[in-house]
Amino acid sequence: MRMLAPPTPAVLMMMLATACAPNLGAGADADADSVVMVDEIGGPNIGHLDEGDNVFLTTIDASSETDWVYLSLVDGVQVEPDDPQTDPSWDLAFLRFHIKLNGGVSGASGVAAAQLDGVDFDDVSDAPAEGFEVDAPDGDDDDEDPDYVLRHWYDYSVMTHVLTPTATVYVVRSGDDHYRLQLDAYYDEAGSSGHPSFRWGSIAAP
Amino acid sequence: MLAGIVAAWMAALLGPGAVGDAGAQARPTEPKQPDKPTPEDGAGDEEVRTIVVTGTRTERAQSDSAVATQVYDRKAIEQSGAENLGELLEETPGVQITRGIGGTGIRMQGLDPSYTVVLIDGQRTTGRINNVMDLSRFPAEDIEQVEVVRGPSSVLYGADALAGTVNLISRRPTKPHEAEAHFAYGSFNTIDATTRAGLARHRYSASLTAGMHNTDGWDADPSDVGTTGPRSRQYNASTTQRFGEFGPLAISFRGGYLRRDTHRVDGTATGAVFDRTNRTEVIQATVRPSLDWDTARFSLSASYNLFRDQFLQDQRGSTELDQSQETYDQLGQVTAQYDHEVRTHVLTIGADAQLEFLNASRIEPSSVDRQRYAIFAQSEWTPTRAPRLVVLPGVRLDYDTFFGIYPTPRLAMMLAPTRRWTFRASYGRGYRAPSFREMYLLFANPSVGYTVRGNPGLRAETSWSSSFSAEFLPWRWMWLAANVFDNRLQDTIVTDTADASDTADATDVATLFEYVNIGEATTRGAEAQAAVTILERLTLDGSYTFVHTRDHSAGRPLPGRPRHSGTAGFRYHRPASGTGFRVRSSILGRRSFFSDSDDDGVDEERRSAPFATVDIRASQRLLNYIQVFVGLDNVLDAGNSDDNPLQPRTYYGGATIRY
Repeated sequence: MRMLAPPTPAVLMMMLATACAPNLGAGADADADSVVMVDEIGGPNIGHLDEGDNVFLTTIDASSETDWVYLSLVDGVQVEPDDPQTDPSWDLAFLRFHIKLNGGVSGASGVAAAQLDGVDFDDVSDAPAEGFEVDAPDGDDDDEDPDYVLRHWYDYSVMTHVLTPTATVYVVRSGDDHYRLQLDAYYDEAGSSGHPSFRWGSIAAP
Repeated sequence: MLAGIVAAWMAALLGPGAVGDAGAQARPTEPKQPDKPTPEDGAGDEEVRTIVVTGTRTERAQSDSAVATQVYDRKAIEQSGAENLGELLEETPGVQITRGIGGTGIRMQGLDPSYTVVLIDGQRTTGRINNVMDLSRFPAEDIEQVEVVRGPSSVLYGADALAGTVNLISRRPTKPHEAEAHFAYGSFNTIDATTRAGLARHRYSASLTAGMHNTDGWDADPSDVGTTGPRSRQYNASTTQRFGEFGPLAISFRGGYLRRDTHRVDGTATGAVFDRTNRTEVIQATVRPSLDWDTARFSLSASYNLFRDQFLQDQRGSTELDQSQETYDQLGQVTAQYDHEVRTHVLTIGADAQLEFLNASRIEPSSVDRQRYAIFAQSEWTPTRAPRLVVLPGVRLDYDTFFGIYPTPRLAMMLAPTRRWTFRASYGRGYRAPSFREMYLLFANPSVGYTVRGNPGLRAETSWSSSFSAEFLPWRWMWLAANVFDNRLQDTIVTDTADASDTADATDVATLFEYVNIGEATTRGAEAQAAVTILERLTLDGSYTFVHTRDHSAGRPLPGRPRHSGTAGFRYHRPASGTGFRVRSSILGRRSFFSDSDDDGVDEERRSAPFATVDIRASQRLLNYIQVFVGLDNVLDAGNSDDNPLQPRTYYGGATIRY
């Protein structure tokens, strides 16, 4: 009975050599970032769509988990304050789903907002005389974030984790200027979160 | 590269001229019939006994084993038309097949796939995704026999063998020369093409198997962009080699390589659409020298598993949520076992070492390892053979570098007062080690706003289980069996919302989930099976299973388990003409799921409708070497995209040529 040469080591070596299939690659086809149609660019993270009648639909890329995006409402541009707590150049700032105002615990400029429930954005032509609040320290609630005035703009689904804007209309007061504001979406065209968009425009003082 | 292997192997095959003695095999070589009646069990035929190994780590006739073992032998695998392990086990009594992100899993005795261990020739496999070992990854062409043991086998195999053990026995050549080619084509561009060659000599046997399996995937809900069943293509090759009869020494080797690409499209609630691609590779190699004497046996098994998975997520219309991840999971295992027979006792002692390494991008730290060392001992005592009584106490001690020592004892008994009756009982402990994922996962999903965090402080989940079964063979043509089981699990690992304050990046609405050992669960049930052979050609079988489950921490049943389920089969085989026809079916009763669908903070129960799967297959032998077949899977077109992602009705046909 002849013995065969054991092929085992050779086969094993060959099998190990085949073990590395080609890499799938770091990124698939390089999609461009989603294209947002804008009439005017307010900065690297801000785009405006002019809806006419002094109403703008503004989209913010607030997808960073660390860097706020600061917006000045009077000229609709993004600003980069050195010290947001003292800098008066900004009115609103965005980080993911958080929205803060330059007032109260968030800043020194006294920007305040009033929350109007049960009204239609289009019907808000004059600012209310009262009801304005500034960002407050964290109160008795579940989170550990400051109690931003603009914190009730969404419904959160425990099932899908999706944020859906409510119909709440805010009136923001910055100095003598008043603006109506309503959140429109939290996701961009490609479905990425951290891209809030809102409809806004200046309105008459009370 | 594959061509090289084939050439090397062909040279080995064609080199020697002489036809040696076939069948120098330690393992039984012919496809065996279980002790149930089958059409092939002719009245005067010598009984061919099925040999099983899983329940005791020693080779025993299925009817003599103190641990009830369910067997699919090669013939049953081929008759089923299954192309992989998942399809094979689909219509198994008391077994529920799950389909999800981790692939095709098995639920036994009402417990999730994470509680069942899948072995190849008794050695562990690796590469669970979502705690599921994907059964569709194991190609049928590699398998000689599948042995399924319900209930805990931690006493022999250690971690994860809590609900059950599935042991794949590799196919080994039985004839001096053998060759096989198999091709099947079906709906959804399903292609199964496999080839195999083998030789068996007095002291050497070898086989080489290669396969390609393709499907274009399917979509249960064409109204949305997402797909349900992934597109997939798999290539696999394996070899077995055995050198034997050198005095008491024999050495066997098995090695295999598998590569699979899968692709699916997922739409999410935010409107994002992802193309998700996985490239999975598995290497498995085992060397097993063994020494056989008249009353003793020593074997050493050294095995290595590599599971590599590349995952690419490509967001349509953006790169913001694109992801690329790579996972390397390596497992080395060395097992030594010594069996010694002294009069009415067979003593088994053994030691086991496992080393596991994981590199993955979703865990923190990105590279972790753990070791586990174990000793086990078992004594099989057969005080009397007629009536047959077997008492099988055993214990295993595992030491894990993370959570210390776990003892897992078991006592199993078998009594066969007459040839017609067999009773079995067992009581034992099982445990499941927390997975690396549960300990180290750090997965933030900013697109939907939650984070899942692993918990390195997790303990093992443990269980006490008992079972009792009876088999009755009133006549040669009828087989009846029933069993009851009870599993009590403690310290089960569940995800719980954790305090997010210490997570710096919890900037989204951040629900933070963490794994904790706070669960407690019970599953218990009863099962009845029957098989009847009529006129030696026709076999009818059926089963009914009742399972009661309870998740004590949540105060409700475990989700997705049917209380009632059953199987029914019909098989006709005419050996003279080589004609075969079979119908397999499984029926799953209503299942409950729980979710907070209306966002009121309280989970609602949702019930899914009962359903049945029916598979039909007909085959015909031609010219002695060729078997042609046609089949129809999921005749009733059961399934939906919501809670039951079953492949729709599938037609297929093909041929197997065997020499």
